[in-house]
Amino acid sequence: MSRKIEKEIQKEEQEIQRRKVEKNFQDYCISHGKRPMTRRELLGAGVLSFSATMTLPTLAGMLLPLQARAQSDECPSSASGLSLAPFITLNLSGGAMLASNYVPMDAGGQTLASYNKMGLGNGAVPIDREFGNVPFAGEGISKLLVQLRANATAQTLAKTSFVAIPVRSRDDSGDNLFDASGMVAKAGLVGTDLPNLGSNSTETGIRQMYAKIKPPTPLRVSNYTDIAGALALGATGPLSNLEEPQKISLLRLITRLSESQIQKVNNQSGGRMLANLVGCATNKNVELAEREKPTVDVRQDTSLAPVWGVANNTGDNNQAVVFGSMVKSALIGVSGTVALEQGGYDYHNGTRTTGDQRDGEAGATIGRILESAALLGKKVFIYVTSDGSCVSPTSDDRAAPWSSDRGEAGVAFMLAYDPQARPATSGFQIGHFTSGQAADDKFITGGSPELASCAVLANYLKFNNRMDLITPVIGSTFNTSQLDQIIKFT
Amino acid sequence: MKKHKNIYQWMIYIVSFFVLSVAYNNCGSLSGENGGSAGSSVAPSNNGDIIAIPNTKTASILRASRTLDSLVSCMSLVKPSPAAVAEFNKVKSSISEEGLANSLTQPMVKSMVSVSAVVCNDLINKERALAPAERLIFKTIDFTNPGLNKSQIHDTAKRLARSCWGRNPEVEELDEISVDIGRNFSGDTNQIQTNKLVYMCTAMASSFSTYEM
Repeated sequence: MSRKIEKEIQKEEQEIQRRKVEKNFQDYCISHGKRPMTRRELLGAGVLSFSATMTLPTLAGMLLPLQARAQSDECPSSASGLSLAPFITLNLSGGAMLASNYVPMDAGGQTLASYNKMGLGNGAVPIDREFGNVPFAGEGISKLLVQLRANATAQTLAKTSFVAIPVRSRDDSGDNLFDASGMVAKAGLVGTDLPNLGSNSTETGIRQMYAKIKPPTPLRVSNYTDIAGALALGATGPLSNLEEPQKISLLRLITRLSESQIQKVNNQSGGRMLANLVGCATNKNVELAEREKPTVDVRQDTSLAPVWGVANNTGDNNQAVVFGSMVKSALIGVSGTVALEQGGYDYHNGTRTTGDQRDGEAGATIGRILESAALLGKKVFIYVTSDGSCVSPTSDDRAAPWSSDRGEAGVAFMLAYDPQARPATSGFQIGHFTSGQAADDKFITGGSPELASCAVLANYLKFNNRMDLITPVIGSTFNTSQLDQIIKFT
Repeated sequence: MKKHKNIYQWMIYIVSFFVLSVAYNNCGSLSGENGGSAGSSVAPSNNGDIIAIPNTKTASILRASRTLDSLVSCMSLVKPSPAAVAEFNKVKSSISEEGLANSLTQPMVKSMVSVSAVVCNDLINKERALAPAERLIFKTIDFTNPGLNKSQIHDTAKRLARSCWGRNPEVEELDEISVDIGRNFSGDTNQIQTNKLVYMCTAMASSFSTYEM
């Protein structure tokens, strides 16, 4: 570009700045009926720059606690998220009978007298212990455990902790407040590029309602290209004719135009929040365009592809490609929270066959997530949810079929992997089952998916050694005594 | 004496610092949706929900189901091309379903950019084939002469703004666009002219005024 053109551009830019100041001055005169005279008025009119506010801390900022500051004034930032482990939710939609895989204990930590409504027969259930000392239905009864072991190595499982939460939930319903991703995002896990990934088009990305805090709108991933499209700009189409610096300049121009246009909604309900989000989003796009693109395609990862059973020619919409890429994006910090959903768990069809198959698929996914984390040398926290559970006819048969829904026998799982060593825990169960073979709803979390989700958050923060974040995120949902009962990570 | 003077000066600095920090940092509201403070009479939105301010409009954005139609309509096209539909289907999951102000995200804005670019390209192709008098947006563009001057950019931007933003552009906006094009493109070929037009049209169609409701 010639020096003459550069000078012309510089001159035009100065002219734009001059007009902006002039316009601010005129707007002030019109709205206030006088010229700005004092320093305060000149600042208010935008004629003087806000150097004072830039250099001095606000008194409010110094005195108010974190929770009092408006979420709406902050960009979703990955700054504090850097210290938080990836958080992946696996929702088994339909009402998985997780309590016939993990064997729930009573209030004294002992096996129940009978599990004959839970498809496990009498109280003498063969126990197979994994993750240290956690009881699963042995002799191959728990297909979840069988497939988990088939997809994760013994070394990986040796560095994994497991905690179960007996909790009643509504059967076959999307109304259970099991989603914890909003709370986790507020704690700071938002990823460098994509704040939240989900499997379907609900506000949580799965068929669960959010607990306490609405998560960032999830990017619904039903095909690998959904992630690729969100990460790349102009790989194809008319923008591919632009050079990379031109694409970045285009995003900068959109940012500048939007920043001036957004001012007019500032006084509307939600206006300042929207203005802030527009600023965050447009600036983030510029930032991402300037950076080297991360590879999240699990097919292109020679270490992870075999774990997920995919190859270069596996289709973009293959579930293993989609899940594997979502998991990888969480593990390398590209995305914040990730919610995977597997359907087909309303499996009470008078047989055990379908249920066993689905439970095995859940175990395979959990195993693959753990193994992926192990191969990448990353920590991971997995939260397994469902909506309701199943019942078998009262029977001593440990292969009794699933005959109906039974939400009171619900259980959620937490698993935490640390490449250094198994995270220490003080127990493997939060709450307990009653002699009636149901989650005890008198326990803090036993009757409330939302409180169970809050307990998951508390354990996640403890796993991350960030208990300082619990009050800013969920306030005083739990008192100290309750926290002692629901936190199992030490 | 001089020593005392220095102490007084420092005391004045410290007091001034405190006064300035209190006086010049309380301009923004700390209450309600737009701020949220402990002890405020209006409960702060601590969960990302929008709190309504009485007697004011609620800010919102275009919802996913209307995005493509709206872009096609503002570009004065009759219906979306197969390429535009394909691009939209590729990215629509990242666009807000409900159009709520608190659902806007970075992938959503990026999706708007990629869909806008395809629709803009369709518009350019359509109008390139028309006589200048029959065009709605690129009336002053000479597609047989690849040059693009400031007046042509301003005229096109004004037509796009009226169509997509529902208003005339501000002088500053026109200047931003023409300066930016001048800074980022050099040379006059047919492809460069097309690139400039795609660039201008995409920037305008992806800026906030287009998807504000």
